[in-house]
Amino acid sequence: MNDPRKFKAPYNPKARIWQEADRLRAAHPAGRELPVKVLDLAEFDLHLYLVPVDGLREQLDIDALLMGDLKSVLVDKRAFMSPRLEYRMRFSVAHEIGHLVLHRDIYGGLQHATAKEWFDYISAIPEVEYGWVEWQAYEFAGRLLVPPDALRETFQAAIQSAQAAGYADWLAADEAALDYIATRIAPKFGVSAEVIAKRSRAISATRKSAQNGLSYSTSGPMRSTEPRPMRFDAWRSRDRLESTPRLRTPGTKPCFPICSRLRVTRSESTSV
Amino acid sequence: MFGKFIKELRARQRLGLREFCLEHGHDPSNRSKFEREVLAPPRDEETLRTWAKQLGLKPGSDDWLKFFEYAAVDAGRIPDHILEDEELAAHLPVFFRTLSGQKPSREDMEKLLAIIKGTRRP
Repeated sequence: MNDPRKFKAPYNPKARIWQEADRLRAAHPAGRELPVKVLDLAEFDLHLYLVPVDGLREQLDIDALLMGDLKSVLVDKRAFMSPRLEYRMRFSVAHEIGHLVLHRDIYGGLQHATAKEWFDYISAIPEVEYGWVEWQAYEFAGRLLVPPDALRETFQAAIQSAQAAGYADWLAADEAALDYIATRIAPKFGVSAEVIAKRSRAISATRKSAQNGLSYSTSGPMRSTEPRPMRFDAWRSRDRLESTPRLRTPGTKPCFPICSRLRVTRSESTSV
Repeated sequence: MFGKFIKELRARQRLGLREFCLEHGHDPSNRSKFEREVLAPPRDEETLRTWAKQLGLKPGSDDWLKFFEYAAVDAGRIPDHILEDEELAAHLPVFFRTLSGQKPSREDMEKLLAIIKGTRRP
């Protein structure tokens, strides 16, 4: 068994995570429908057992988790069966599929002989590395459930519909408009409005990057008002940021996604 | 044999565990245990007939006969999914998505271990 204190999250830049999610979605009919039939994808295409259990959420604050045999996903029974928590459960299962796709090798290399060894290993993994792995699965889940082309199309249709109803000025305004549109279109994707808002910003930020940093603007709330995201090369080189300042965006401090991951998780938990 | 077969029958209809249980009033934890062969199939003929119909089987069809044959074979079998602690340890999860975003404490992990053991007990 390797030393858990030296555990490093695998290098998975956002582009690769997105590619993997897009590939999985395209490969199965359950992924080509809207909302993406993520539970069917898990059960029937990836051949995972969904194992509902009592108390996972109440006792441990967990909705779902992938077992180390990579054959089953434990899910909180109440959340699994509750229509009110359906979006949340869909996202959680998509997140576990993210671990399966992106972190299969890690699971394969971490076989514990006893429960004590498991306790000790998990406890010793550095918090920041743990956070990176979780962030990757989170990003995968969002991309899997919200295909970017469908999002753009749906978003534009919603904007046009609102404009036709006389809301043109207000739509050009700010984040409130984004929230409004996100809330309206979220059911089509079977996710929370917050997930839609985040995916919208992600697409917007990516298009902005593609234009070599030139200001990207739409006439509506797809415009990103977020700070510029961390560059992929900075992600890859995060351990060397202190020694290679050229990797930072000039004039900014290094940004560690672990922080945003934690914020994201908290807010996600209250919004679905 | 029986558990895998009833899961396969459900999969043929692309009917998810959640939908199947909601539609037919099954407890999803128990149903999952039957499908994973943690629980032996019911012996009661009437229950088996009901299940067969819920799974879309037609009386007298090949699958209907196979369903009852597998149920009879597995009814007396001791489930082999009750793993020893050492074997269980190899299957334990690595990363958990807690709602609070925090890594689980040792106390949390002990609770989780108890829950996981419960999924493998009849």
